[in-house]
Amino acid sequence: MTVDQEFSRLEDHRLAVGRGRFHESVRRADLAHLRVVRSAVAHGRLDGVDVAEAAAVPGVLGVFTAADLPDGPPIPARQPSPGIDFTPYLQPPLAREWVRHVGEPVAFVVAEDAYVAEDAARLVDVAISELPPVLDARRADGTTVESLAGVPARVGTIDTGYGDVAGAFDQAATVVELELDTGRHSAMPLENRGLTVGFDHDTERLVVWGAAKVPFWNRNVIARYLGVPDDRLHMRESDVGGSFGIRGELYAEDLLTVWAASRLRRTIRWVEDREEHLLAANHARQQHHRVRAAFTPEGRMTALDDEAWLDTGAYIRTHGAVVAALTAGMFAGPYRVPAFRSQVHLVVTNKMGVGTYRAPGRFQNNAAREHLMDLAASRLGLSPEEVRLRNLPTGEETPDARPMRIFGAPMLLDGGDHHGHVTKALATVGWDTWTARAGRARSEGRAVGVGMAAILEKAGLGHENAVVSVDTSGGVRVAVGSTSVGQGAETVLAIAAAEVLGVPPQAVRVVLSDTDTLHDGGGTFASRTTVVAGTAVHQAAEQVRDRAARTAARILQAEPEDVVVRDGFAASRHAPKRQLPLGALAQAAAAPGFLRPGEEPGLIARSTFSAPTMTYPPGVHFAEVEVDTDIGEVRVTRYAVTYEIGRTMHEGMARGQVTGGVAQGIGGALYEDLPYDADGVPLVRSQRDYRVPLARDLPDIEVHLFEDVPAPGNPLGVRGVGEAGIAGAGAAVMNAVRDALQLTAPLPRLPLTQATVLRAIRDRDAPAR
Amino acid sequence: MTTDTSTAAARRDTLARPVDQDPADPSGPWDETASRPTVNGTARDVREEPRRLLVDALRKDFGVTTTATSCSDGVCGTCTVLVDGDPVRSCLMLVHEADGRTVRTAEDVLASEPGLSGIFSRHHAIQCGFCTPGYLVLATAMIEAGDPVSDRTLREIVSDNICRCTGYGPIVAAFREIAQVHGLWEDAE
Ligand code: FES
Ligand code: FES
Repeated sequence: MTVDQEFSRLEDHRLAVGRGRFHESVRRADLAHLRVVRSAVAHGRLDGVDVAEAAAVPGVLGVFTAADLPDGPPIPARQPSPGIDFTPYLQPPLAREWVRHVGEPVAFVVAEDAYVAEDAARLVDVAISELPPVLDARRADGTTVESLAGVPARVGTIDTGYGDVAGAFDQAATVVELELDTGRHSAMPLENRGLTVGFDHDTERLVVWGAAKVPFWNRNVIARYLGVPDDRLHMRESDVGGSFGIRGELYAEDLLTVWAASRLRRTIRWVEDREEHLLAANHARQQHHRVRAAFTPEGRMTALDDEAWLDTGAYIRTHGAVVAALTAGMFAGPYRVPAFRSQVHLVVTNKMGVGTYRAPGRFQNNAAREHLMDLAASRLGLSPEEVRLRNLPTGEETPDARPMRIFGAPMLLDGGDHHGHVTKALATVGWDTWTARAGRARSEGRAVGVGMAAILEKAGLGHENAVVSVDTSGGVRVAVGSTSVGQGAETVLAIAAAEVLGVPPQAVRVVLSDTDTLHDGGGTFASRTTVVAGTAVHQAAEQVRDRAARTAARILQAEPEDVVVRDGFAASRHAPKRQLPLGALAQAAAAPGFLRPGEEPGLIARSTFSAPTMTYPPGVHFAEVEVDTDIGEVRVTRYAVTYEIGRTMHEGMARGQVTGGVAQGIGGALYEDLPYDADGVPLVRSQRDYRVPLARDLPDIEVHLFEDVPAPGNPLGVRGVGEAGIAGAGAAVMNAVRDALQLTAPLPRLPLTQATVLRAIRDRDAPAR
Repeated sequence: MTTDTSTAAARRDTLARPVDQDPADPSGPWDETASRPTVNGTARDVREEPRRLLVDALRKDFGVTTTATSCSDGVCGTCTVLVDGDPVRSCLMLVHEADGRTVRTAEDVLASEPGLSGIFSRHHAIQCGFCTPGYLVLATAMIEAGDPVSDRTLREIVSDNICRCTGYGPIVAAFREIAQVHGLWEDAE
């Protein structure tokens, strides 16, 4: 049965009517508030923390420093990276001996009232002997770090590739190269980070609201830190105001808040303010790339070689080296590259740590590579689309396993005909009309340009568990380890069960990531919810359906194959009038006579799906911009994305993922940056200074989802769509600006702030030296 | 559409401190001020220290859950409420400034304009839903202002608030339908 895909999301039944389950809505009589005291200094030796004055403020329940905390391990990295030891680079929950970035937690206050906590936090005296901050990853590379026990600033290098790169460059007819800096961004979900942690006096358990992304992993780490069994913590389902990869990672503040609740045996709420968010929630993106490509006279790429430095900030965050691994591993994008090398050096500095923000690595590597493709097109005298088409694999060449691995798994290009996708994309958006319109505008003296970016995306990683059950009233429940981070996970997973069980999605109750409901769960990241969790739900639902059919067959004295489960009933196709409700079948399936030996009573099934490899769909971004050459301001006037989604579970939500991603990507391309001054003090400390796109800054975004090549690696055929909209945005906008300004040189950096654009215009107009 | 753009921090430091406060001791004690705002139809006496922001008092004293903060700086509009009918950033207003005034949050506008939810949902104008209460209030302000709107003015209205999830297109579409339903839509431009 097919499901009406355009029904409202299940989440909307509460979010549209003001009943979102955000953690700040939790009411508790014993609520107290936590406020973190942070380092105002970028780098230094922590000489002492004097809490006496703060502790004396009426209403303060406690002021704590590292000395009060358990001697537990630092915040661990979730994903190991073979050959790199992250241990020396991990962050303690509160600074002990050193502070390594402005905003690093040094102490915290708990008080009856949030205002009092903030007042008292200002009275904590922190003495620091300052050291010079390190603020440039490339310059730091090769040095050692006193405040990290003398280890090298370079944490490690992800080095990947294949083929004879040096040989290809020796033979090359044309070599193009460029250097590109990408700015320091953050995801800026609208809801700030925060947690509410209740203490249950009867059971001594800690109940956590507001966890996101990877609650099971976070639970286990926090339990380890407190020295209690995992089960002492109960992470509850919550709504979260956006994650985009950064919210829901484990931060120092999570450990502190849960520790405070267990220590004070009260409900503790921690909510950061926007300044703290800018200082101490994961940053992202900042890289310097040096890339070159070799071409034949016909414009065929024979080699691609990139070296990049990732400014990973003060500490290695929970993702470990994921950003670097995706930057390096996916640098070649969709192209046929006979010889390839990509190295990414992770280097620590004295800035906030870098994490995975939506399309980590690809926002940057697509920008570097696709800008290089445009540069190559200029040098080779080809159009930008032509140079891409000449280097994209056709249907005959795919599926193709690149002779390299990514996260230890093979990299199988399973997205079908990349050449065909781009050809279809050009026709679908009417690319000829875009270039013609821009040309006309330029002939009228306006700085209008268009740019494209061919991308390779990836989705689905790791495993997820699902339990699907039908209760005796006929109610369907799905329990999954993924979390909702505001992307509509509940709805997609309800659809996955509903279409198998023949019930409307609205009849399915989805329990996301309640650590008391499931033993284990993966979480929500890497565009994986639909692919991995959706598949686990689909498989479990199939087992439930088969069991319902088998049970009904016995009652109806029919063959199980003849039983149809639909609309909450089972019936034999030979006697469709005699319908058995699912609730009654659930009851029957629990009766001894219906049970096979060892079988769990009732209509219930569990399934785990483990993605053996990621799926790699193609996509294309198209941008049109107009530059105000007097002030260097860029306006995006038209935008389109094509993407091979495999199969769409819910059209409106899938489009929303793309348009939302494009908006964030345009912000990253034009405005967003987190600069530091020479003392290592962040210059952007409020939303006012971190400009994100508003409705007036964006055109309507065209989204074309192709369903030409279902993903072979999962039964739903889905490919995930969470990052498709942002991954190519920096690249397409940069190429459009270069076209608008008719530059022969490449642009040096993202974001394309007014200053950067004005400088590019000046360089263009400068007389050749 | 929104009034007041000073920063919350500045207001807290300059306006909120009672004159007899020892400036060396920011921790109080604070003299409490009595005020009587009407929130979502109910007038209630509140005694709060004078620096208490309206948004915090709404949650603390009036049981409001929809009005939330993000930037606390007047930029994002997540905290938007109607004060005597005008959209106001409740993170920039002190609760005693609402004394004797009428405050309406998303809870109230949903009761008076129940159709808004369905329109938002149908257009997929909700992803995480954190911005939704602010936009519902903004939409109500648009309806009650009664001025004709076009596509361009709608983009401007929606630009009062920040949404980090949708890319705005769906929100603009929802506002357009709301304008049409209320006879405010001016097609020709
Ligand atoms: S929280 Fe009030 S405008 Fe952002
Ligand atoms: S829906 Fe998440 S911020 Fe708007």
